[in-house]
Amino acid sequence: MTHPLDGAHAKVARARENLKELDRKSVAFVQAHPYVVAPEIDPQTGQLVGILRAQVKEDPIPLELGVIAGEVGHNLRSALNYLTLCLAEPPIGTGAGDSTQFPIFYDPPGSTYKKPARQRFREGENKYLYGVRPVHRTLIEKAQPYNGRHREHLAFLAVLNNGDKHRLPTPTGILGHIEPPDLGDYHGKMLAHINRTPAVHDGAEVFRVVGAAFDGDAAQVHMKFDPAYEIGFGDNPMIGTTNTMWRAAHFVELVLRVFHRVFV
Amino acid sequence: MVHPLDGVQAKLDRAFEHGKALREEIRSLDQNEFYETFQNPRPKLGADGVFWLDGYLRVLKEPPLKLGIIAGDCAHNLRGSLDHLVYQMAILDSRKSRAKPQGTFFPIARNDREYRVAKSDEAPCLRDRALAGIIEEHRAFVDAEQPYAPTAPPGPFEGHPLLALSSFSNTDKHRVIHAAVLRPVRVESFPLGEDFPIEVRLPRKQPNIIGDGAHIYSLGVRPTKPDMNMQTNLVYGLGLGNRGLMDNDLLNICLYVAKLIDRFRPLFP
Repeated sequence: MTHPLDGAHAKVARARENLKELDRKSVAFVQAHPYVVAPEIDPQTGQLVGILRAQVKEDPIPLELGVIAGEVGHNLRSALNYLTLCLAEPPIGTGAGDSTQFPIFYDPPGSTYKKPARQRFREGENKYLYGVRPVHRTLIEKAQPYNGRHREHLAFLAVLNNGDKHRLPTPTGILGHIEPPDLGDYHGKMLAHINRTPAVHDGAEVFRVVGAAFDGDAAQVHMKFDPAYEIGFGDNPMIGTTNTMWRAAHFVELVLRVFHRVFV
Repeated sequence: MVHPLDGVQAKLDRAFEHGKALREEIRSLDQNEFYETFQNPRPKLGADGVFWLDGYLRVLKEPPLKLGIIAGDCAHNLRGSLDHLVYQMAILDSRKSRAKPQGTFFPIARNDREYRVAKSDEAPCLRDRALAGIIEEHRAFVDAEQPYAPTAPPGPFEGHPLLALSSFSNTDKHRVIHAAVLRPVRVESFPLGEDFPIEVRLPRKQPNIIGDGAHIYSLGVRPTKPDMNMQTNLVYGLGLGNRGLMDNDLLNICLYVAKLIDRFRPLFP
């Protein structure tokens, strides 16, 4: 090893390899058109709804995608931890310093934490950054998600990595770009309400035509609707796609670059 | 997910993939690129009239970091499959309470004290912490797998596979798992041209992993003429981590974990 951060860079490179594999396998799944959107009538309201129907009976998203996403989270998080251990000056052994790691504090939507992330960082830094110089602690603090501007990708990374420790980051389909459906004769008569972020699973409602009850035969509606969807990972409300992971990888690389000169 | 252990199996399958990839990666390396042997004659004859040549290792370059990275991914998924197994047990046992299990993991302890005795009055012991929410009847399954337990099946190599896995997984979280040269277990030396006896001695108490300049062997001959030729054959291997586990060892750990998980399957009808 020629530079103390070589191991950390190797971990990011590995995460990028994992991401390429994840992208390839996710696209292959999505391109196989495992779902169709069919117009149906809501028996409760009589409204026309677009319901996502899986082409196969069981949820066809391969679990392997969740496994690879877990590896991405693990490798990126490890890269940051390797950095912190390189920065920590006392030898890491028993006792103080065992918890040394790159802390990631954030305020998740609907957070139940009693204290804001900034305060939790201050209270936790002596534990997680034991042996790290104040000047380097300041740089790590600046990278925290609560400081905004791309740093929030670290929060997603923490969610992904922590989730993976106990169970698979279950891949969930999420709808991406959606154009309003063209409902043929009914288009223009009624207002289509689009559910923009439904999880892609068999029976999910994608759109609902509101304004009047539908009095025709749903099966006869000639619909033009081609939603784009991709695979999401993580836990509600923090679900990210491979794009989010690429951005997280890029940010981790930036953090490593900032610290690179410390070791020169 | 159709079965509660589908995620566990997915992690396990991935670990096997990495284990096989690592084996292929190591086998594809030209090991002569990384190290060579050089010999130094001892300046004086031994008291018994034997002339000794000492063989040493010269490291030309470090093995690629990628080996440790792949081993880390393998360990991460294996460790994850065990932790996910315990999480599913906690879900199984807490169905009535509807409480979401938190902080569970598959405990791996060296001895009963480490497993059952709390470090302080405030913190629960490893067993209680890792198996929170799991009923005693099911905890017994985990107890039986502890490396020190008489019920635990023996591992395929010296040291218990779960302890090796725990060490690999913890190392990978803090630094790249180190790949290094392993001490050759066998050194053979043959006389060339004419027949004469060669005594081969391997240093005692040498660690499994050796570094640049390590003394590897000594060859002793009784000189009968000024020019005596011999050929020495030895095969090095690459080992991973502090224990110097070889590529097949990692696959053996995968197999061990797969069988362990199979023993828990009856809990999940």
